[in-house]
Amino acid sequence: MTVLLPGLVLLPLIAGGFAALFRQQGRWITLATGLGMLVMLVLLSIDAWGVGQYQGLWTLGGWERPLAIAWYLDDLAHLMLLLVGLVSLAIMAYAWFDTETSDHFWGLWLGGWGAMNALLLSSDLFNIYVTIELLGLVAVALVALSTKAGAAAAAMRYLIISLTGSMFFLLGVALIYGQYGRLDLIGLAEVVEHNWVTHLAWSIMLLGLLAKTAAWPLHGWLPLAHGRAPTAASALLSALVIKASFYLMWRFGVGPFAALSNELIAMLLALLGTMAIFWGSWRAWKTPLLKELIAWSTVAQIGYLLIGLAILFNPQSILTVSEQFNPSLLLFWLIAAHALTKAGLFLVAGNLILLTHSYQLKDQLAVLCNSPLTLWTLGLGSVALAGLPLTLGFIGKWWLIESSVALGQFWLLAPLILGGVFTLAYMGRLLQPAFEQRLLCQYAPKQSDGRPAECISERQLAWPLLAVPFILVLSVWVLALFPLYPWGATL
Amino acid sequence: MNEIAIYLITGSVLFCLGLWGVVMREHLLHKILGVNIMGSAAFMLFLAFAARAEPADAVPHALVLTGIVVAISAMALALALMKRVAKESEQHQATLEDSQ
Repeated sequence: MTVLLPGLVLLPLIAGGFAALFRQQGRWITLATGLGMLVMLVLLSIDAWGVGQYQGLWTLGGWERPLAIAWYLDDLAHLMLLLVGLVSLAIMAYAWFDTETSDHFWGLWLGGWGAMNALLLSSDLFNIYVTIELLGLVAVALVALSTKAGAAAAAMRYLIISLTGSMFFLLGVALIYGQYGRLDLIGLAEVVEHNWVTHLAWSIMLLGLLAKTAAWPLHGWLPLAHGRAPTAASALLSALVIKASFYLMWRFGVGPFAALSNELIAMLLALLGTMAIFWGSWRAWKTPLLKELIAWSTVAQIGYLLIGLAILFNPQSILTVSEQFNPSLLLFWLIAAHALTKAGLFLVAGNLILLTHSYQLKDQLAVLCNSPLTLWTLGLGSVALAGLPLTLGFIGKWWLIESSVALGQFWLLAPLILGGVFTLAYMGRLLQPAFEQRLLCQYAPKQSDGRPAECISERQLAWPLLAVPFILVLSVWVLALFPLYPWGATL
Repeated sequence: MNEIAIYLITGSVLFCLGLWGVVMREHLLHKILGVNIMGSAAFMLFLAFAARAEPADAVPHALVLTGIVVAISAMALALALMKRVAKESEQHQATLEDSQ
């Protein structure tokens, strides 16, 4: 294990540097790195098999705490590493066959992957600041790769918000250092006290991270950035990058700053989440653009994650691990469900735009009415996003509903249940006319070459472009059959 | 302790000043400089905390050096993007008015 952890961070970072230097060979370097990462992730998981309480602490250079930069692996970090790895590999496989992928993409995301892995493993506040800044810069550069009108402005807006969020985080780190003289999360958990400086530092850090997660009302940059980025970049940003800052809030809130949690902060987060669900769904319902619809739906889905965070932060919640069952990890399945579904939906949107050369929602009908696999992917994806039973999202959302009832917060049932209905409604804007049009296409008079009129077929695309999003979306349904963490460790 | 208090107060004021610049100023260069001022404020706090110990604590110095490297890279990306925004906008202005 001691070799695997640094390998998971250093391999993509170094390979990313090479891929940026030798742009022509970028995709081959990425292929080799991707295979290497897959092997390492499998080895790491085999290593952890059956160990039970699998937790590891690894200090860089063998220095002692608190001076050393420590890396910490537990079940949550392990699951997140796997999720990031698998979604990255799937999206890179798609980008390989997408003719519009820029040469710069490979080096950028390899670097981003390394930064993300370092962020997941880090157990040191300043080290986390560096990784989140690195990830933020990669994310902005990914948006700026697009040549679409307004992409530079969207990237700029994203960069300003992201940097400001990082500065808030850094200020919080400075205050924590001034107070306790140490930055390692494990050590901080032992010394954190109730005083106004610590509360201020934690609130500032939380504010910065909320802006980076695009929590309502700090979400304004997300639909622009995710809507205008290139296809593969949109999928990576929506599926993974915003989850990084969410993961940090989770980590800090139940780790070093657990003692500071109170019902007020939980209530605030629940309110933000509720507003995010309503506002995000409303805007997704109104927007005329395909990718913006999916991006606004991300804003709404972040609302669910925030409500989950509110439940984790509420001191009344019952989160004790019993019989190897850790209820808080159910929130991870919500993250996983959103990451897999949203990656799939953005890739499908990319396919549609490749075929129709239009960003407008209404122009996509010409493809949808004649493309069964795309339609199936969209349909399965919409249901998975809404979190209906039999999907992975249902497990997480059921936990949210159960916990809010247990806490006596019955009003939370409204956003939690309505959110799913809204999801079906705005995704239905794409699906419902397609089903109608499909009948027209089947019975429409044929053209001279025997093809139905005004229907573009998905078969013009290379098959991996269709298969990757379908597999991503399908995995949300298949994983729901095995939601238990197979390591026998705490779930 | 008094000298350190001066640095702490200056740092806090600088942070708010930088934030004001990011939020209120329209030109992108002002916004980028605002972010940089916020960063400098955080660094100043780090160094003020380091000066409390005798001899001065070395860890925050290392952190600030790392932070400066990160800030330079962020600045480079921000300036490059700003030039592209100005080039692509209709009035060749480096502002964010055009996005919805």
